Amino acid sequence: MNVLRPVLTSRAAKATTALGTVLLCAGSVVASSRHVEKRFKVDAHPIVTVHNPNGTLTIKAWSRPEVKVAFDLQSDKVDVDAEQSGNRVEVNAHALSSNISPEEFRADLELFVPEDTELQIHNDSGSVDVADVMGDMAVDTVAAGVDLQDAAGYLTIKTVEGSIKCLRCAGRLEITSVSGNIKLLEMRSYNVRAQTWAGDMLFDGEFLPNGTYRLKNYSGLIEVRFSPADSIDLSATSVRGKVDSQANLDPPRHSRAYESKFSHSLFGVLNQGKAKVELVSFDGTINIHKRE
Amino acid sequence: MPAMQCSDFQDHLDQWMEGDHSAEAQAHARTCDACRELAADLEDIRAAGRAMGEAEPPPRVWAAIRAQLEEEHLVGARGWRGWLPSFGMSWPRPAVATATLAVLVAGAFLLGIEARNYNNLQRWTEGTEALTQPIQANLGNFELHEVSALHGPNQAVNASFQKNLRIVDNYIAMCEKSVREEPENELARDYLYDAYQQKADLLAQMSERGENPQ
Repeated sequence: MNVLRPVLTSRAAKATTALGTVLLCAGSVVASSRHVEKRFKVDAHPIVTVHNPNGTLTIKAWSRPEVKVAFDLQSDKVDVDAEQSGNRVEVNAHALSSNISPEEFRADLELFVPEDTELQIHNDSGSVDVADVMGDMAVDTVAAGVDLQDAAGYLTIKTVEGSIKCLRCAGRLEITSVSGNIKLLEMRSYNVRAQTWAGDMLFDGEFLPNGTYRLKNYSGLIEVRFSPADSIDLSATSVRGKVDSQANLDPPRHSRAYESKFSHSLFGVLNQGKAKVELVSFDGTINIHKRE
Repeated sequence: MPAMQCSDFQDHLDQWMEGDHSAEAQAHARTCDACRELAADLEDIRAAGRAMGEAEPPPRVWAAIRAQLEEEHLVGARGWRGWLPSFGMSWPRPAVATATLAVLVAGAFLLGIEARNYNNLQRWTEGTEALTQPIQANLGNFELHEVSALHGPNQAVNASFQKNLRIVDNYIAMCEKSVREEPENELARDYLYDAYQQKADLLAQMSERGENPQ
């Protein structure tokens, strides 16, 4: 270094050295990781299943009638099988050795699929991001967060503690989690059932006529945002927590199952009450607030 | 004749489930979302019970439920509750744990409807205890097995399972406390059964990962 120091006086020389350092670092990453791509021709409504114990999973829709699977492996002790059987593509990451560290036990996957693909995803830890896929979807994770964007179909999401975010999702949505937070934004779904035990929940979307929306937790905040033009038949009950509403509700039309002396409840109808909204918490606060 | 109310419809549920859909009940179901969904939920539970013919929890679990129902004259020789499966003798495999709990929760739900009608606090409390004690015992045994088998390489997943198992156990304890303090609090009891169901689901997930640790 002492020999080089006089040379490193000019800005250009410093830049060259910096670039060299970056290239050296990049070279070392390339040397220890593998990038693989596979493509599969498929017909309409293909089924893609992914089983990835650890790592990031990104799935995007494209217009081609094929499934592209690309992955990066950080270790020789992990491999990914991607195989086609008829109109089904199965992607399975697995360990090649029982002696493997948590850092080595990782596969980062990126898939491109036709828009009408049905997805079945198991991704224990890491993250799951899906965009623009309109087929049915079943996502099952433990610690991995789930981020869906512009999805439709029948969406079933189950996590243990992974947080869940749905942006502009339509169709039917069922979510269960033990301690993950749930955010449902700009929704256009006609049927939403979401439950978490120890997470916060936010629903900010359209209440479609004849739609049903049920959010339930044990503790944590349930927040629902509405506009004065929304047509909802609302039921909000918290056993130990508070119910706070900014909606001017008319009296309910029917008796309610959870109307009891043991709970804090709010029942009522906004406009014609065309969408049924049921919010239930045990120890959490329920906020029904006007959309800003 | 005045239109049927929700409470009338719920009193009529037994006949409804037997297929006796009177004109009044049908008219009420057409206009009342809550009662229509209640009836639909019961149909779903019945269908699920029929589909679970292969589930094999310990006989003492079913015996406890049945004994309690019989003792309280809540079941007859034959009735629409007959869809509850008769169980065999073997210990449930992990894969059927969730199904087992579903049956128990369904039984608890049905007992809850009857208990509401009888409005008998003592019976209510004892019924809940009779139902939850075998569930607790079974889940406890199942948990011992699954937690000890949790040794996959993904430590984040192992830690997540254990952390969330503690969360659910904590909720079970709090729900039990609420049910003891307010035996008539239906929502507290629903949460208690939900918590048991959640624990069974969690243990089943742990079991699946244990069988396929990758």
